[in-house]
Amino acid sequence: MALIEVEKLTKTYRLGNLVTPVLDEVSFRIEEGEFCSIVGPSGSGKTTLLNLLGGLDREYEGSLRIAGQEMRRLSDRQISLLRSRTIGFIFQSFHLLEHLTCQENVMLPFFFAGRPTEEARQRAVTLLEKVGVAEKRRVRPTYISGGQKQRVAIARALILQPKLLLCDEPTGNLDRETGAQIVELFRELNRDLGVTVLVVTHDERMSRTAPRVLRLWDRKIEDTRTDPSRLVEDLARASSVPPATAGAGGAG
Amino acid sequence: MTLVGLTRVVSQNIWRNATSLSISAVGIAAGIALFSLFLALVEQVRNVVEGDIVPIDEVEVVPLSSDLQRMASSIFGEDSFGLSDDDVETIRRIPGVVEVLPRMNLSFSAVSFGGKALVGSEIRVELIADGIPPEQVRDELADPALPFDDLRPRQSNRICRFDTDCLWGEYCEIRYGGPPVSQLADADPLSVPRFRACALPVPALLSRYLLEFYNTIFAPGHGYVQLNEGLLRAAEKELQFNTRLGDSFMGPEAPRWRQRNLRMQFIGVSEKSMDLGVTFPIQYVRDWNREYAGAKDGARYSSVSVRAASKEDISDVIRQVRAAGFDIKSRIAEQVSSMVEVIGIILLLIALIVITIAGFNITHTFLMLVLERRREIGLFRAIGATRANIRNVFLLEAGFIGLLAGVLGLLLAYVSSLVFDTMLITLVPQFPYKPDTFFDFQPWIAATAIGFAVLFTIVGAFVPALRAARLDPVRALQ
Ligand SMILES: Nc1ncnc2c1ncn2[C@@H]1O[C@H](COP(=O)(O)OP(=O)(O)O)[C@@H](O)[C@H]1O
Ligand SMILES: [Mg+2]
Repeated sequence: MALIEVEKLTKTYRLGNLVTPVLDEVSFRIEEGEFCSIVGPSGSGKTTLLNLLGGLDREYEGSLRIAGQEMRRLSDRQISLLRSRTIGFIFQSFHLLEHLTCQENVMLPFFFAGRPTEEARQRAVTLLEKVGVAEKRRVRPTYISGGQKQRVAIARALILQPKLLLCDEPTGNLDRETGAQIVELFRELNRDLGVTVLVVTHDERMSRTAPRVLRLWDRKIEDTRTDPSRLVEDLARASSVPPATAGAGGAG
Repeated sequence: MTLVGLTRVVSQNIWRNATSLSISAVGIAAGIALFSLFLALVEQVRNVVEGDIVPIDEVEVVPLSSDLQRMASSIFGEDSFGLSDDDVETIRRIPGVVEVLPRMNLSFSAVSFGGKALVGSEIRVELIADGIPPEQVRDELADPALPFDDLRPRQSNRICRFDTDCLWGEYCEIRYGGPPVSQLADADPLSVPRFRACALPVPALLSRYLLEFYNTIFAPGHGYVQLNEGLLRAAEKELQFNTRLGDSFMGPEAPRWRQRNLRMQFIGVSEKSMDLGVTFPIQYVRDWNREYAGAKDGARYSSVSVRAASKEDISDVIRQVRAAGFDIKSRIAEQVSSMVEVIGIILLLIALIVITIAGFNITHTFLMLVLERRREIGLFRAIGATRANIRNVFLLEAGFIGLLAGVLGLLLAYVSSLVFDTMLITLVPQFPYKPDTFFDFQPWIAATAIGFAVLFTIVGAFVPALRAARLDPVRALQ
């Protein structure tokens, strides 16, 4: 059983008379532990696809199963539980709560999952360390840089140990160097934690660093697997820093 | 969702929107302040009215007064109007009734005068009085100067000419022999035997109402001494009043030669005494009524005071008394207390209107909050919050605000009550039953006030909370 099973998925927005077809009978499967990037021009439906995969949008035709469960059939409770346990979201605009400290932001999913606060605190500390912003624990997000904000957001997405990270243009608001470091962080998380990562990006060069690319084009998906040998080369070209030091610094 | 987490999120939310939330909380607080102030006011007025002016667990039962019945008794010349011993027994057996007290009104006129030794000048009043069975007040009177009882069997009845001829405590009383006054219209005054004999004063009871009336209205107006129960007990001779039976300020009723003086002595204050008059042992009243009003049936009472087990029982008792064919004498205090209740209800309605408006204000504030926190709500949904979680965050936030508003409102009410009390005590002149405070903040009032504050805030926030819960997460995150 694949983590994501999409079959003949069709999505059409209907707003009164305005009908916008976005996806037309697309099918693909993503196994657990894959690293996959989604590319396509602006307005091609990348965000729409991620919202469908995360169960935020459940109006679709065809079949969409996450961890074996057909999303349309789940109740609000069940889908919330699925998001809480299985899926981590990462957004272009971070969506950190400015009135909470970074650590509290990271702990937030724990509250809604109804799990003990002390455990949340310990995990938040570990994760903030792992993503390289341990020293910003007690600082409010207002006072940290964009790259650091995205690192905090990543820690938040990881705190309930999801199987799947859905990242919608996570580097869109970051400069290229910082963006490359974030992408490198995703690779690292994918490799070390075995978490499945789906990264949406409109940056072709960025997408080439992924072993698998889903290309959205004209309401269809083109599924390409990249030759692993070209990977390091592409990575080096994508970021202006040498591959040996990329992602090690942390601060963006 | 963990309570710790929920509380943390909520408290930080409140902190974040402290200004707008406290503005709308002030509305609730103001409404709650009015609400609890009025409740406390009504409570205190009820305390005064029910506790002092009239015990509201008591009513007075009178015969059903139909004109037909009165007409019949006048045609057949039969004084059967009143309540018999059987009637008293019937009333006593009504469930909920714990005590019945038959009363007999003085049915002819009399005048009382005296009190010079006590208050400094002579008081003359038309005597309004009734009689009650003495055994029913005996327990209530602590160490009276004279027992409240028919004292005639105990007096010496020695023939005398002056008070000094009598034993200590007795006085020299004029008496008549022969038929009662009512049958003597044309009799020769000289043919009626007349003598003087030593007698004990007639014990009399005063109502607390009358004492209060005297102290606050009568005494200050005339510059008389204020009376209290202690003084009533200590003074003896000073509290003796002369009473002229058959006399009246509105013209004599009995022939002047048959009017006679006797002496009564106030021996205490009793709740069972009539409100605006004095109360004697019933035996005296019965005999005097025979002598001066020619009442044939001495066993008929003019009314029966009925005490119910509790205030809650009284309406039931009244219903059954009416069903048994008797009537209820409506009392001023009863009307006062129902008037107070009506005013209280009106004031409470005003308070409720204020709270309701404040509730709408809460709704508005929370709708703004939901708009303001749209993205955050979307994020919460994305990280696993259910709709119920989102709703509960807002409702709990509202609950906190309500709690704060309730406490604030109570504080406000308490402070205003102190201000009102000071104002009313210094600015408003003394009136009967003027209390030290006009407010009685019972614990139940505080509980109700806080409960209402929380309830109204939560109700006010309910629609916004539902709206927040139903937000489409995709739109919210855009
Ligand atoms: N809520 C919506 N209602 C109607 N149309 C929408 C909505 N969201 C997106 N669209 C339309 O769907 C198409 C795909 O949008 P989106 O998935 O955001 O593209 P991308 O993320 O690739 O830029 C666009 O044409 C957009 O106008
Ligand atoms: Mg997009």
